[in-house]
Amino acid sequence: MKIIGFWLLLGLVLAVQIGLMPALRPFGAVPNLMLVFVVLVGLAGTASTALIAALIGGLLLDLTSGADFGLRIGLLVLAALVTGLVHRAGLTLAGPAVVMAVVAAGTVVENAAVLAGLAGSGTGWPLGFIVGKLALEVVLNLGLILMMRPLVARLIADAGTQSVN
Amino acid sequence: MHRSKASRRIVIAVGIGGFLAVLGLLGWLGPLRWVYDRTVVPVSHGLASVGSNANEALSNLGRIKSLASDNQRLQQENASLRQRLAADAEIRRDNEILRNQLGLEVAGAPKQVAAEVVAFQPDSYRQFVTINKGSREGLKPGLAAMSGGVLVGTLSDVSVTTSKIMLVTDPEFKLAAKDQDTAADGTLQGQLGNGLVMGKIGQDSQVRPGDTITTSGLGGHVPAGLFIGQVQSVNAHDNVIFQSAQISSPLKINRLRFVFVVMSP
Repeated sequence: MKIIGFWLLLGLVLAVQIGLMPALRPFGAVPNLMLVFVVLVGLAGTASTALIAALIGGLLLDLTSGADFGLRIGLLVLAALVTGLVHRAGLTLAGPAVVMAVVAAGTVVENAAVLAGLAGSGTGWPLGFIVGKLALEVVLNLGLILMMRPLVARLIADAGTQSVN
Repeated sequence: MHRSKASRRIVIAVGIGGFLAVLGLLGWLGPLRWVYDRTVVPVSHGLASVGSNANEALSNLGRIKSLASDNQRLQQENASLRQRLAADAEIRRDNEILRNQLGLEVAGAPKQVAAEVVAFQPDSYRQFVTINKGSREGLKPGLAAMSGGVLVGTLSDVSVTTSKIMLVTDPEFKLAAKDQDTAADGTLQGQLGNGLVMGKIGQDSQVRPGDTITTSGLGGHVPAGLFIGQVQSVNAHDNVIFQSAQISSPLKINRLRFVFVVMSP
């Protein structure tokens, strides 16, 4: 585990996730680069490092958000814990499929949690819009995995770590 | 031994996460928010501007084909608005004269505070923006924010140097509104998918497509007469208590750069 690489990449991911992504909104959705990062770090490094990233990232995202305080800390900590369990079970050898499965599941859980918070708001529930947005977010997050994996492997994972390669 | 150490770290991390979440929910993260406003917000501000510009450039590329027809439509709209403005100026002058003769106070325009958008909501469904003005400039929760003459939303959370605006398109946004053309009252509510609906319009009230919808000034700190949008379609049935209307707002959230907070009169 390379500590300097970890902190550099964490700063970069946070800057992009908080400043750039919500303003850019590719196709109207906000991809979750922080979730991708936490999962990749959990598989490339240790559960403790993934938890540190989850705590810092979740807290800053919650402070940026105007609603649902605690949701992002909770989701990212959960993602770090699940990734730690997956890593410990040795499933990481299965290649990118594991990362993709955890990120896709995390995206679905995050969307479900945000929508659950709106249950009493009296808003309409356009199913096509919700499914479309979710599918788009999953696709964007999976695309981000492809971009982030080589960076995490180069800057964070120790030589010989197989988990993200 | 190594495993128990790792487990202990995990328990500590989860505990810290839970503790921070509880502090945040109780509104006790003041010092942390202070640090956030002075470290993260400046970085986010720069990147949000870059993101907004890139978004606008991409969307302009996609609109090149329709620019000529848009231009023609806007010129017609401009001519019609100029005509209406001239008529309104005449009415305002008459109103002032009559109010002076009756000894009534002449209402002045409320004070506005200009602010820059420094961050957007980091998820796809909720609609908030953060601005770089806070309680130091006299802002308080509930005040209205405008951009380009259109109501953007109301302040939901105010710290010393920054504030969060809940946008009109957020599914939890609710505000008293009225049809300026027929004086029908209702409640404006944001919808999932950036829609806007004016509900709770009485069956005996009249609302027509094309009518102008403004704030009604009932309750809270939002003055009456702030432009929200126009009626797109009306949903009225004999077997329901209220009518509802779909409202179209000219607001483009991703292009929000500056807003004006309307101080209470």
